Order: sequence, then C-alpha cells, then structure tokens
Amino acid sequence: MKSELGEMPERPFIKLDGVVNRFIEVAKNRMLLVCAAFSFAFVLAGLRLLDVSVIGGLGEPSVISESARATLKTGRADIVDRNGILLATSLSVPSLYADPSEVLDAAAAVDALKTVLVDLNKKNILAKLKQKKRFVWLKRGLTPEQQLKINALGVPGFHFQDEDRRFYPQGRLGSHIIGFSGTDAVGLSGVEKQFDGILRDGSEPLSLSIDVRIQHILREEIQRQIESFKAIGGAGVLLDANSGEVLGMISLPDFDPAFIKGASSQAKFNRATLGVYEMGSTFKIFNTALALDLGSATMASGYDATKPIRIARHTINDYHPKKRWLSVPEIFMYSSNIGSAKMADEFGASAQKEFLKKLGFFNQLDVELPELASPIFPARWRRINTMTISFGHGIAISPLHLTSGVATIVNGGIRWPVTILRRHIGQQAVGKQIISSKTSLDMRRILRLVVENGTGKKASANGYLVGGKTGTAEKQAVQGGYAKKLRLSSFVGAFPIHDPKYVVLVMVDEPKGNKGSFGYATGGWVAAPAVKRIVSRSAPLLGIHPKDEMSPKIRQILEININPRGGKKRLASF
Amino acid sequence: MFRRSIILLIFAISVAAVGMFSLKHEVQSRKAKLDALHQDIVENQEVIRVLRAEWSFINQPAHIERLARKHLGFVPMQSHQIIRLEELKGKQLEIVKGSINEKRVR
Repeated sequence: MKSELGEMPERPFIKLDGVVNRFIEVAKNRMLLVCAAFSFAFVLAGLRLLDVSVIGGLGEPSVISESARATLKTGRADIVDRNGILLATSLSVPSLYADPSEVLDAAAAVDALKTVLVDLNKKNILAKLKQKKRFVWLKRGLTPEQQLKINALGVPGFHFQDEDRRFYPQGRLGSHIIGFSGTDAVGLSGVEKQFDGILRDGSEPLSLSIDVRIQHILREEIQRQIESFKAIGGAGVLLDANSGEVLGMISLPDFDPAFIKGASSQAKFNRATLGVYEMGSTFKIFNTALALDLGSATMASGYDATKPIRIARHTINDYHPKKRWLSVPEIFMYSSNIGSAKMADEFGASAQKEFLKKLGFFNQLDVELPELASPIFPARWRRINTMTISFGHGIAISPLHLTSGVATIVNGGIRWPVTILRRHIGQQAVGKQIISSKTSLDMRRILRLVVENGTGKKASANGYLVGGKTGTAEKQAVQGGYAKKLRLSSFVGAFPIHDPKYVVLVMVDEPKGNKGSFGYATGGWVAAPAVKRIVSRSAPLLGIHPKDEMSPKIRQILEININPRGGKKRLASF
Repeated sequence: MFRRSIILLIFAISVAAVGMFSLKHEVQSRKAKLDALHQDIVENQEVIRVLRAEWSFINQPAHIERLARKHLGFVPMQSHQIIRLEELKGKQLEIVKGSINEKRVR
C-alpha cells in the first residue's frame, strides 16, 4: 500500500499559500504524535496481556483455595475435661425482644405470649410494653420450640435475636472448678473467671486436668456419707501424686450452673480450695515425716505416752490412750497426740515452721482458680503451738493444701505445683525436693500400717494397696474453745502405696454417728469407707492394675518393724 | 485483504467478548455457590456444637450409670475380676457363655 505521504510529490500543482500549508504541517505532526502515543499504549497493553495470560500465569495459583473464611465464631471458647468431654460451651439461642411502638394491643400480646411462656410475669411484661422505648427484652434464651410457637402467634412488634449463651452439659459435676458466667458471657467464678480473657479470644478449647468420671465417683461416694451421717457438707480431692494434676475435686453441697440464681452461698462455696480447716490427725503425716527426715526420730525410736502432757493450762490427751511407751510407727498407727507432741517438742518450732513453709502451708495455693483461701496459723509460735500443730490443731489449711502436702510426702519427697489444667506431654513442671526419698519410703510404710492394722482399716480397697491416715478434728465452737460434738472427719491416703500414683482425700463436715457406725463419727468410720469405694471404682479407670497384696515382693517393700524395743519398755510402763 | 482482516478482527473480538462474559458469569455463579457452601458449613458447625453439647449432656456419668444398672444389670467392677493376659499363661480356663472364668476365682 502506497503511503499518502509518498503521493505528495505527484501533486505539485496544488499550491496552498504558506499559512494554510503551515497549519496542515502542524496538524500532521500532531496526529503522528498522537498515533505514536496510542501505538505505544496498545503495545504496552498487549505486552501486559501476554505477560498475564502466557508468561505471568506462573505467579498466580491456578486453583483458588478458600477455607479460613468458613469458621464459626463464637463468643467464648469451650472448656473440656482431660478426655475431651465437653464441660462448658457457647451456643447461640434466640431471645425475644419487642419494639413497643410496633405493638398494637399490649394486653392481647401479653395474653398470647402467656400461652407459650406459662411462667411469665404478666404485669412486668405489660409494663415493659407500655414503655416509650424502641427495644425491650421480653425473654432471653428461648428453646427452639418456644421460638417456633411465639413466631406462630404472629404478634406484631415481637422480634428474635440470636445470642450466645453458656451451657454446662455436665451439670453439677465440677461446677466449683468450672465456675459460671453471666448473661453477657463474663466469667464470674472458677475457671470461667480465671481464664476469662483467654476464653474470650480463643477458639481452641481449654483442657482441664479433671476427669468427669472421677468427679462423679467422688461426688456420689461423699454424698452417700453425708446422707448416712447427716453431715452438713463434704469435700473430696483426687490428685496425681507425680504431676500435681487435680483429677477430681468436689465440694458438697454443690450447685447447678444452669440455675445459678437459686444456688445458696453455701452451695457456691468451694470447700476444697476456699475453706480452711484444722485438719486434725492427718497432720501427723507431716509431723512424723519431719522428725524422720531431720533424724530427730527414727523408725526405731519411741516416746513415753503414759501420761497426758500438761502445758500452759492445756492438757494434751490421747483419744485411745495406750498408757505406755510407743514407737514412732505405733504413735502414727494409734494416732497418739501425746507421742506426736513429744516428737515435735524435740525438733522444735523453727524446724516445724520452716517445713510447713516449704510444703506451702503458709501461702495461698498457686492453683489456677480465683477462689483460694489463705491458711490461718499462729502469729506467735510458742511451745504449745508447736505441740498442738503436731497433731493438726492450731493451723487451718484448705483440703487441697493437705492433699498436695501428702502427695509430696509419699511420691519420693518432691513437691509439684498443683494445677487444674491438663499437662501435655513434655510439659512437665518443675518439682522441688522437700524430704529425702528414704523418709518418703518410711512414710509409705507407716501409712500402709494404718490401713492394715490401725484406724484406717475401712479404707482398704482390696488389690489397690491403700495407705493413709484418718483424721477427726473437733471444730472450734463459735463462742471459742472446741466443740466436742462438731467434728471434721477425714481420710487422706495414697494408692498403690508401694508406688504411689494418686492421692485421695475425703472430708466430711459435722457427721453424726449412726447405728451402723455404733455412734462413731470418726474419720475411720465416716471417711475411710468412702475412700475404699472411691479407690475401687476409680483405679480401673486410671489404669491401675490390682495387685496381690500378700505377694512377697510387695510385702518386702512395705515391711515394717512396729515395736523394735517394745517388749522391755512395755513391761517398764506397766 | 483489508476487509477480510476487519471481519476476522470483529469475529475475534466478539468471540473474546462472549468468552469473557460467560467466564465472568461462571465465576459469579461459582462465587454464589461458594458463599452458600460457607453458609452451610457455618450452619453445620453450629448444629455440631449443639449436638456435641447434647452428647456431653446425655453422657453424664450418673445418667449412664443409671441406664447401665437398669437395662444391662451392670455393677461396678471388682478388683478380682481384672486379670492380666500374662497371668493367664498356663492356667486352665473354661468359657462360660462367652465370658472367661478362671477356675481359681470361683
């Protein structure tokens, strides 16, 4: 094709005057410029097209994946037990609200609503509907069925809104640990309060160390003792002796978090962590362990328990006086206050204080719950205090303190921090050696002795080698002094005692003797049988295999000489 | 020559336009489908949460225990009913109605 510019010389006869010619020249140049600019732009666009379609395809994925968008956002993370059983969850439930300005006939609307929500307060709702607002809640947290029925009423001005609501499918089990949260999803007690921030932000469920099956067993067995001994309450703990994890912890009476408004303050009170009690004879575990660990007494030494001790207008007496010389294992087995006081008097107040401090008995526990009590102990530690504290009077600690202390004594002497969160593999906490492993072994032997021959016979769960100590403390009366009739009966033990895996505590508050117990309401009659049943029922769940208690191997581990020089001394004391 | 190339160009443009619009339509419909699926997933997750809560509720140990006692006649296991496989070695066993009883136990 010939260009127009090329034809130009063939038309020399067309003469234009200079001015017009110049304008045409300018226009041509401009057009050329615009053409060039457009060509350039099109070439660029073409190159870019090539780039994205042919070459640049590499940079972008050919398949678009979408996944992150489709996750359900709930207001609060779930709480699960150690086996993943749901303990608390948030579900969205419809709530009914009204716009009073849209409601045509308030009285008729209330009557219609009453047919679905039978327990409605008519006056209250009517007053709400007469308010000059655009929004009033009528009923929060409806069931799907109620929503359907209310919707079918067709009342103008009634609307629904989905709200997150907290549910506790296990009801009363673990209610003191899990706690509860309010209508607007704010944690008000227990784990719900302690981990409020984490639960709000997170979507991963929070794993607790408790096991609902253990919770159930503890609750059922302690409830049974409370009923048969007409007690006012009780507490129970089952603790992993070698990790400090709480597998079960209950406090009775308890409450159902679904009906928190009806729960009494008694029921909401967590006796296991928030209550402090003078534990009584179970404290002899710590007294004996300290004496053995210091070397101020050995398994072979003995003390004269012939006469009561009189000190500072007080008399220290024995519940079952033997009126003779008693060896260290015997003092423990017969639960002699006199012997224990003499033992404590030997090592003295400062050693006792230091030891109890190392066991954590002067501080709040560092367990992850907001309801924690501070122990009560004497400000001035006199000789009489040392003596009474040796058998558990004059110091008040929480049941969880006691359980954690016993775990330290039996597990080889290591104190693990107590936790209600599940420890994952490789998440082992740091423990602290408090007593020697030799002392721990001696303690296991004498704890077994109590169950085999002493006050704790009723705790013997055949095959599971329970070892432990009974405690029967007189409660301090309101007007001062001790009330003989008001007791706190407990049993704390470990199983299997030759190689302790778990520590279990049962405490019953103010039991009254019954016919079956011949009027007794002591730890041996009230708490020990519950421990036996708790151990027999929970050990198979915990993977503990029953052993032949009479096998030579086990006998050898638990061998003990009760009365090393007793013969001679006993004669002397008669 | 010139005219043919113009026709070709117009044809190519219309093919490209039709192609592009159908592609866009396809993408839109797939996006709508994707959104519906997302909605579905979220709804299903909600339902699963409700079911999980219900599952936990009906699995309350007290409830299971009551049902087991009533319908199955189950009672808590005793320690002598548990035996390790190694302990059975070389022992005479008899099988009674599908359960294994060691002679010594009875």
